[in-house]
Amino acid sequence: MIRLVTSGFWTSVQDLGRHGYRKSGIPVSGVMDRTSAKLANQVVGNAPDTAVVEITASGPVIECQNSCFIAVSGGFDLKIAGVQQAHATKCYASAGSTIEFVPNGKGIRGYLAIRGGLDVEEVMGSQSQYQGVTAAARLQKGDSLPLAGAPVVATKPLSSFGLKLPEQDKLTVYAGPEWEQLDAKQQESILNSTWEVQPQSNRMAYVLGAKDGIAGFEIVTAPVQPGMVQITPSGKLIILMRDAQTTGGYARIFQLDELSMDMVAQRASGDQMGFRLTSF
Amino acid sequence: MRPAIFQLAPKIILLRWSENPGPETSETVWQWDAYLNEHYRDQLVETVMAYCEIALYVKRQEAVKPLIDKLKRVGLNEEFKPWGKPKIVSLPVCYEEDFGPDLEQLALGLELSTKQVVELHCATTYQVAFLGFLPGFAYLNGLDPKLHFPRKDTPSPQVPAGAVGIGGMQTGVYPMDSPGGWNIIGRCPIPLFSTKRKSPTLLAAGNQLRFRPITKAEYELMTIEVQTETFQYEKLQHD
Repeated sequence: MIRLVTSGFWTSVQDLGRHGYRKSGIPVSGVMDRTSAKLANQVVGNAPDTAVVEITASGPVIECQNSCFIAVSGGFDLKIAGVQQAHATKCYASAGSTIEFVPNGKGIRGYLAIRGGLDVEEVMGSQSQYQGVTAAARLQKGDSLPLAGAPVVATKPLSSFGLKLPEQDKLTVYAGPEWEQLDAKQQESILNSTWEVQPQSNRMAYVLGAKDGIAGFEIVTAPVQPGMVQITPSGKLIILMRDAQTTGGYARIFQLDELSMDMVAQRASGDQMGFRLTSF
Repeated sequence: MRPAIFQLAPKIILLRWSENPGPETSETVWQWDAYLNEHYRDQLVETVMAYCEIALYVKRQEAVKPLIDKLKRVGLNEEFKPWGKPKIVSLPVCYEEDFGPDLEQLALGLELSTKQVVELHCATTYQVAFLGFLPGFAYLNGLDPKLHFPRKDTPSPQVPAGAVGIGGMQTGVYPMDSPGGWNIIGRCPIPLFSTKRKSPTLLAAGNQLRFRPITKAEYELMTIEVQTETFQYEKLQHD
């Protein structure tokens, strides 16, 4: 069992998502930065789809009531009983020890993997927390999470892990269904601009500030998915993230590649980003 | 009606029909969705339908280009309707004042009485085109043009679960508390989405839907039945 002494800004249990229910309007959910989450799982010997604790902006304080092997990846480093640990490394937390998360400047999301995973409710094939599907949308102060004894997979030598975090400033995108409906000048302007992340960005979507002379339009409601970039009539860009709705009504101009989605997930309000169009 | 087929991302294919949204296009979309899920089940994670499109989410290990080539050769018989007789669902809605805060304003704008709005809203058999937006939210075809009314200029920060609204050419029921821009004319006591039920969603694409007016007393009784898990869902089935 681990217990949250404090909750942190936004802390939730996530795995690689809830698949097969989008037709009922149920978002995929799951970890925002898959690269980092998989890394933490791999380090402790878990299968890549094992549920982890996703922390955002500021970490919780957690008390380990049982001893466990843990690892933290992404934008945070781990402290056990006040002692800072190496990034994304398998660490032993003894029963009764307190763990904390220290921002390392590489992003706003961190992942705590616990060897064997978490024994929390599974709804529709996933342990990912989502409002209205799981009992709670996120973890609160005082919550206790039982540990699961999931089988451990063979751990590769640590030297084979690379830390992939946002370093490029341009996101790789494919043209979306409505991209060609924008005129050449608007297209050029979107690709040559630097866009700023707005404060209302969250697990559902990142909003990027509007630019003069760029305006989108509404469409007949159509399928959308995580990684899709929509443009609103007022010229804001909306990058749909893991908790995105399954259908949407704004012009769909881009689809991000997988790694770019992980990069966006680590950005904070005020960060800048641009787009590089690619094709198959 | 054949769709345009193109690749959107390494593992996403989009099928798009150029026809206008409506009951006929929806039938074509359902046909294709049923066909794809029958014949390509093993290659797909899942599909998502909307008014004029289907998104295919292809499994990571599957090649996408050969699949697109196959899909381009698919010709569906118009008679291919694997879904049988549509399920008809009758949803109780209380249109009384506290439940329909925008009903009066909408009636004024449409130059109808509130009674006429309710009668028109309940007179149609709607078709569930697809689910999206929120878990269990149904996009419906069939709102009477007399009830078409623009969305509110400023969306409400919190629309309660069960709220029945009209926005533009659309009507629907909010399955959970959410911000929303539709004009709220009533409320349904039956949750459209609940993980406590064996089937969490009440509706599915291809269902037919009717709204049935109820009194506040009936609303309250049904709310208690839902809370105590004694509500008989089969009562919603309409013949």
